[in-house]
Amino acid sequence: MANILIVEDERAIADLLAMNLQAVGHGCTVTMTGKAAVTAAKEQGFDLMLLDIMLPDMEGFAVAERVRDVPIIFLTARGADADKIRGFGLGADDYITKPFSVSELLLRVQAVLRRTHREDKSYTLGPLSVRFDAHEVTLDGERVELTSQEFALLRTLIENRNVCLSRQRLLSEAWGMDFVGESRTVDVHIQKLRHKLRLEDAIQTVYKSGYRFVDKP
Amino acid sequence: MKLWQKTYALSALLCTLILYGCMFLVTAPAMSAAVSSTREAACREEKAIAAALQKLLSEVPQGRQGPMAASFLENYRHTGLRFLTKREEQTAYDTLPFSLQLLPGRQGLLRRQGRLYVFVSDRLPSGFELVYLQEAEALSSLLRGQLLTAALTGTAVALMMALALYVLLYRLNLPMSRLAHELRTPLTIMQGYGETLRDARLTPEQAHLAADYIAAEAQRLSRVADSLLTLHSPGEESAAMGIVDIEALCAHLQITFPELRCRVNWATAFGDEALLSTLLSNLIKNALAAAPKGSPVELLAEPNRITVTDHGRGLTKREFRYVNHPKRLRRLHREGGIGVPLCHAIAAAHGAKLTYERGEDGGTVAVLTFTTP
Repeated sequence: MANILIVEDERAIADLLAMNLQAVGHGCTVTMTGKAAVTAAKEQGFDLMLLDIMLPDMEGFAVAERVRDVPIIFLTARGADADKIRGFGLGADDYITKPFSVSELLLRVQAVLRRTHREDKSYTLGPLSVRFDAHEVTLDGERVELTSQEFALLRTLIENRNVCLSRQRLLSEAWGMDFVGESRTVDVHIQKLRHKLRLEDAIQTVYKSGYRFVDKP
Repeated sequence: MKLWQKTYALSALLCTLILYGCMFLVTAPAMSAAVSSTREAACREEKAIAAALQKLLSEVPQGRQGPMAASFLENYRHTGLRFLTKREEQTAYDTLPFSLQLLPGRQGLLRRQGRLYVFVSDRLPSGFELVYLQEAEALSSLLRGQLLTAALTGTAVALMMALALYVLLYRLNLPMSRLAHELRTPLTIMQGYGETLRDARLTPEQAHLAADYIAAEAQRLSRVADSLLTLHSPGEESAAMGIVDIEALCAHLQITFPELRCRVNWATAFGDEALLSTLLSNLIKNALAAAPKGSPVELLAEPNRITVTDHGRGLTKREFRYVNHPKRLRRLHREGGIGVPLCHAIAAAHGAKLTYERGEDGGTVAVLTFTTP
């Protein structure tokens, strides 16, 4: 679980980000001004900062200059190349313009956490234990053999837990963007995971949408 | 360069070219007529002089014609006229200021040594060739004057047109650029919560909050779009002026901003509810951003006066200079966002004035004073 600092002065957007990040298992702290963000970053350690550029007391760029050791994803309505260049020049790890897709944002958050080696190394749900770095899955202490594809699919579901993923999204995430295959491939592998890991209740089918890994009651 | 600026540059260039073309078309006939008139006058004068010279030459023996011609033409030296006369390559008289070789029967204008001349060449029955040359100073001045007038007039009109076009395109683009920017926030919220409701597993409270946000932002989107477009339409009044329930407006603001404390001693006002809501929301947001955490923001509504007070650090002298002068605000605030400039514009649309004052404890008080009851 990553500890993420959200710096956004629009309350509705801040709540939106927190709601979705917490759904997939991250911890969130919300600040609405640049100064509060700088203070929070100094007092606590964060794995990632989602930083709006247009803040009431200072620009997000100024915050980025003061907070140097936290990966940053800029969120902004300003999509001009000059702003992007400036943001990346200040060491930003990604830059996303509003309006954005929440699923895309979650994807980018995960990508930055992975790139900066701050992603979860393991996951536990009841008798199930997964170690991502070792590609190891145990159930009730017994090791369960999964194919690399099954493991990739399991990892994708866990990293996006409590959020519905379409078959297409699962294909692109677990199989790779250039995979040309039917979405039934996903259905087959989901069945295997459910059977091997006793996840019939945890991996839910969402009618007309896809699948969702649920770890909350 | 933004698209509207490119459009402006292209349009201004095209208009300028068309304008200069039109100026030329208008000026050219007058210039042409002046040139023709000068040439015709020169031809008439040359014909008269040639006829007189021919009559004189016919009365003298051939051997004496040359000196007689020279003597005759010398009489015209003081008039500024210049002549060349020769027969069979023998020059009898030459007062031309420069060498000139012409076939008989030609006439026209030429420019030599920075001066304009009109010339006529002729052949007399006596066999003499005569070249008549006159400096066309008056014509030269006239043509210069006409060209200069056309150029100056064209340039002045082009500049005025360019300025008017720039202002028009700027005003047309301004609401669009501000609208585009201001739309991004509600669109982000609506898209985000829509996707969240569809994809995420939410508690009933979270789902309700998401639906509330979508509904609120959809309404705000509609109001902002209508208000901005209406506000910037030249010559058009705000579309929804009417009786505004100030108590209801403040109650709605209190829901949106839980940290706000309202005191309402004003029942109704005449105005555009959506615009007033946008104005007060902007003032409250700015106050909340300036206020320390936990410090209240107060809205007081009295007859013809609404104040929004925060207890923050207050504005600096420089900031006070700018926020009370809407036209200077661009230098203070970042581009993007509507904020204080729109607040001033909405206030003006209601016949009201927005000013900022220093609070008793150093905070800031935004004062909206309605001058039109």
